[in-house]
Amino acid sequence: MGREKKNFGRCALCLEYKTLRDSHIIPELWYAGLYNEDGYMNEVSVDVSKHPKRVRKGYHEYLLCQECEAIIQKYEDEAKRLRDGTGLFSQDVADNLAVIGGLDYSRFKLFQLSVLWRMGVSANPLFAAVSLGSDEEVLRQWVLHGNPGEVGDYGCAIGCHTYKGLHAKNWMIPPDRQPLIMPRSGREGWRYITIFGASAGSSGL
Amino acid sequence: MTDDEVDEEMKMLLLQKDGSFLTTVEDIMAKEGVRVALRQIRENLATQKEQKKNK
Repeated sequence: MGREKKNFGRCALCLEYKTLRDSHIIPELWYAGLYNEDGYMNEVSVDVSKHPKRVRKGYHEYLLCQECEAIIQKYEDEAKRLRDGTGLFSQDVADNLAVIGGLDYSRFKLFQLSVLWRMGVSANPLFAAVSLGSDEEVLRQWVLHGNPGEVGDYGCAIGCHTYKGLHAKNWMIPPDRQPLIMPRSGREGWRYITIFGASAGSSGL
Repeated sequence: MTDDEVDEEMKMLLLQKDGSFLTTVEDIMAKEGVRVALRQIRENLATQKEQKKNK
């Protein structure tokens, strides 16, 4: 009963009061390469006062109800296709530049936006750099109702990182917020960059 | 940032409606921020090791 009481609260996505799941901020599937044989990863900080610590099961908190977890799961299933390369094609177009295709635009973009939004609403200090302001509500509505917007609306870019020639899949670096200026029009916005799993995602605001 | 605020050149790097994206492959050590962070982490670990030894 005590546990159930602790888990009861307002779902961050649908805003209804329900039993909450212990939701991942970054989906568990992207942590696979980070765990060692004993099932934990090491968190290290550039802050000398913070001791390295072992982390199991990624970073999670009571955030979403079961129904909203199911909404996000559909988006995460599309991301799993990218991780596993299922039904995708890749074509090298230049040194260090490739086109990857075969994804469902709506589901994959909503996966990216859902990670950005989850980081924005998370209470974990690791994600404190993500400060969405009024965009938080816009993204909540989009993620809840399955609206990916146009290509440039909260546009998402993806890069692949290597380390000494191999995929850098055993890294996760918390999000960073950087100013973004369009080279031609001079329009200003924000860019969030995070690195997890074997890929890096960047979302512009 | 809305769709019409993004330069066309920048849009090419974003996830497209046909489900494709242009991706760059970059060595993680080419990132200045990562190099600095790793150096600080190494120093952090060395300091902690030293503190532990002196206890």
